[in-house]
Amino acid sequence: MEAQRCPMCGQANPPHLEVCQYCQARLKPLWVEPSEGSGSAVEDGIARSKAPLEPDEPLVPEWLRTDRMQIDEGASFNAEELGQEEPLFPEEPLDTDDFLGGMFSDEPLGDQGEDVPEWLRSLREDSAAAERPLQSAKSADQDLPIPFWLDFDEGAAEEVPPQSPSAIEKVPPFKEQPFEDIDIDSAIFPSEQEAGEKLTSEEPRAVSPFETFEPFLFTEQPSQLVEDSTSEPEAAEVSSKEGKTSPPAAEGDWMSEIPPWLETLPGEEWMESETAEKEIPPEFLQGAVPPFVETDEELSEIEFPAWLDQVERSIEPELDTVIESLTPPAVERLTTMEEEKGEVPKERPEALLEEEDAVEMVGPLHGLRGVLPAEPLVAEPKKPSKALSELLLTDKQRAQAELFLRMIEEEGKPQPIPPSRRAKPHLLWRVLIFLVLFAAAAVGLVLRPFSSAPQELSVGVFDAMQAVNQLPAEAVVFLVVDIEGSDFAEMLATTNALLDQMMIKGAFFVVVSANQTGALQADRLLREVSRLNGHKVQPSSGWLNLGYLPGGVAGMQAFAQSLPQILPNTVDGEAAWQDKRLQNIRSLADFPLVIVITEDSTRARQWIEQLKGQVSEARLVFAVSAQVEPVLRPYYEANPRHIQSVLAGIRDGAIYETQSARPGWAMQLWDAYTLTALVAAGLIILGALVYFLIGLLVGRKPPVEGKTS
Amino acid sequence: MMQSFLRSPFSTLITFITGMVVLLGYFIDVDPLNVLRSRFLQWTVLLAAVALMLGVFNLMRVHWKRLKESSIKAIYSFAFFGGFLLALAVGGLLGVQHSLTRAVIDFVIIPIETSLFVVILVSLVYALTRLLQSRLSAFSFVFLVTVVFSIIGSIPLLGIEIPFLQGGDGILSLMTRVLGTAGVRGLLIGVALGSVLTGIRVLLGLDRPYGE
Repeated sequence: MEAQRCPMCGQANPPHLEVCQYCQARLKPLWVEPSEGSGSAVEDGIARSKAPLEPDEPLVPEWLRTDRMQIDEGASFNAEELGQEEPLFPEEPLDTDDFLGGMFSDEPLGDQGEDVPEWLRSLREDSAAAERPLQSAKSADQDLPIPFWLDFDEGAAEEVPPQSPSAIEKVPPFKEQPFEDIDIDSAIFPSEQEAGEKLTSEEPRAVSPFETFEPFLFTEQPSQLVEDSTSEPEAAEVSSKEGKTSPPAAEGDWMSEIPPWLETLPGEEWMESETAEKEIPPEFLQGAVPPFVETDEELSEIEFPAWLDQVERSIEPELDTVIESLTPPAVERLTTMEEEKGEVPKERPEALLEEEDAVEMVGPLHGLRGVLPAEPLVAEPKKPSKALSELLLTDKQRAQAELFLRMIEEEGKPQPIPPSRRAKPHLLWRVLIFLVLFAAAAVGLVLRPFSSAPQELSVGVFDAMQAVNQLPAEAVVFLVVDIEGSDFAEMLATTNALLDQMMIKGAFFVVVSANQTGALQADRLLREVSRLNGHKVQPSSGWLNLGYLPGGVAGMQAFAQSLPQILPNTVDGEAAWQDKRLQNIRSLADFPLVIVITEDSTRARQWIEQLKGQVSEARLVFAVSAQVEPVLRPYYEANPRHIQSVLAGIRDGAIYETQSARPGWAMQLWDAYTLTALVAAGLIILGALVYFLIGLLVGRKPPVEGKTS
Repeated sequence: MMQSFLRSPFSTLITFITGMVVLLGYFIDVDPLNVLRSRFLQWTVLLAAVALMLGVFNLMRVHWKRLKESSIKAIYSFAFFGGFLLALAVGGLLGVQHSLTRAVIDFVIIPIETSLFVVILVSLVYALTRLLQSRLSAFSFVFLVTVVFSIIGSIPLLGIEIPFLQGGDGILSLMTRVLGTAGVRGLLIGVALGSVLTGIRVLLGLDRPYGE
């Protein structure tokens, strides 16, 4: 078999395919047997879908109006009337070779199964055996027909009697092109003889598969032709036969009247000459251009009616005038100038003309001319342009991208640590400083006295001496010792004379510390003072150590409020407040003197703040390191004072010893302290000058302030 | 879990209530309020002691981990455990008044801390000598001159007292009492204002150091 072309895309497909392998369109259309009423129903649908005839359609010919009215009234058509109509197409014998001919047969083909294959026969027998009980219950004339898809058989189709109306009315499927075997000219416009024969023929006709889809213009045309070809009596007879199909125009019908504007159109002479034959279609339809004209030759062979030439000749001058009036002179001049410059080709190329005049050869638009080639331009797959696959960069962007990449690569590389501009440590100079200071301290301890004792009585020492002198004998003194081991020597020198004076008076010390090692330092401090000054004070008899006070500021506050509850026991585990010397002591206010010994400025400030209100200012004395004195001086010099006195550093201790006429540890350290401090000051001055000169001589520019090295 | 609990409004509410009780008890002398305030402060001391113990256990855990890793730093951890056990045994069993405990204080703790203090002294002198070499500026010069004058003004120059430099009415005394005291007063005022603002923020829950 030949390859079959797809009706949609026009591509050749193997004959056995039912679906186009290119566009998936169906190659062999499925035809469903139309029922008896389907034709009329479809026709009714067509009629209903048409827009109603409106009075503002003056160009519609009279015969077309009549047909439309007939269709509007054709809702009452029945199948019998349709069956009596003249067949549109010439009757053709049923193609028995077509296997689809039997596919739509209503007759059961079970008895015609001489050529039925074995598998189908066995299947039918099985189905018949299975349905036999049911068939017995039914009437004999109610044989269930075998489905058409199961009843398909070429042999059966061949044996279908052509007289069977149902078989005759089956739609023969088309094989290739829909109108391939149809002579449209002869079918639509038959000759008078053929029309007469068909009109008188009573034989059942084969319904064209396009009958229900054909435009009503074509379907109704034969009747009009018949009327045209016959005389008026005959036409009246025919119209009486068809009845509703061609009703006479009623008098006074507005549709049959020609509007005034139409009367003024060219060719009115023709219209007037034809008005007597209103029911007869114009002659030009006999030579109408067939619907499918493929070439210019076919178009040129068509003879147009003379009146059309006459109309064209009469309209042509007027059209030229209108076109000239519509074209602006400026546009015309521009067009002329462009043509002279060659920008606009005077004549379009032949290829373009051929392309525009090409006739569509495939698809549903087959046969039409000037079809826009939408598919090649729109639907044709194209390769992506090169610009999409490659990034277009300017030189500047490329340079910036390369710079960015270099920066990223450099970030990943380990950078060498730049040499520090910090001055290298001079170990020799450090050792020299240590040796000089150590020598000064040793000389001050061994070869004393180098300097005279401080004779000036400071205000703080005086107030402290007054507070101690006012203590009664065997008074209970509360000591807060918050010192570290590094400052022990200084604090010992500072408090030696103070504690010595109180020991002389037989004071009993209650010691507490907010430092973890403060309790041990306090015990050692009291022992050293006792040892240095020749006292034989023992821990149990001379002081009571309450140990470590946790909690920081909150602990100080709590302790200041309620001593027995916070620290009920000593560091040895004994009940602290059961001692007979502490029976009258229940708060800090009960102590005649409270002495805070610390080298920490923060701790000193916290004690002042937390003890305020719990201890009278006249009973609060601070013995601190020299570095803490500036912090306590505002409290001491305030009016009123927050504290009674401040003893600061070795100097105040030495003064206290001098004033009390009991030289002690402070005076022993005084010479060493003064000599070491003097040497340290000298080293600072000397070293600063040397290094400053070295820096100038080497030429190394010292870094400016604010720019760290 | 614990962090989310501490950050919850519940913890902020507890902080607000306890803080307000302690603060109001400081200004208002009412017995129930004072009792409640004292109770809260006692709990604070107790919890601080427990926190100190937890710190000790955490320190032991860190050093125990280092010992198991057997690295070079393990020797320091070993020394820590040795000193910790020794101090615990001596201070806990023998007591503070025992001669061995005093010997530990006299011959271990105080000499070590004192020697470190001497190192600080040498380092400070060394840094001052090179101050003008490493950073030459007006402030460096002023700082250097202030240090030198403070040292000289605190001691007699081998029994020689310079009239206008030393003494109660001398320049050095005025510098210390006037300039130094003024600077410290400013610092104390700033500390006080900062403490008040910090307390208010903690009471209102804006700062939650307990939840960090």
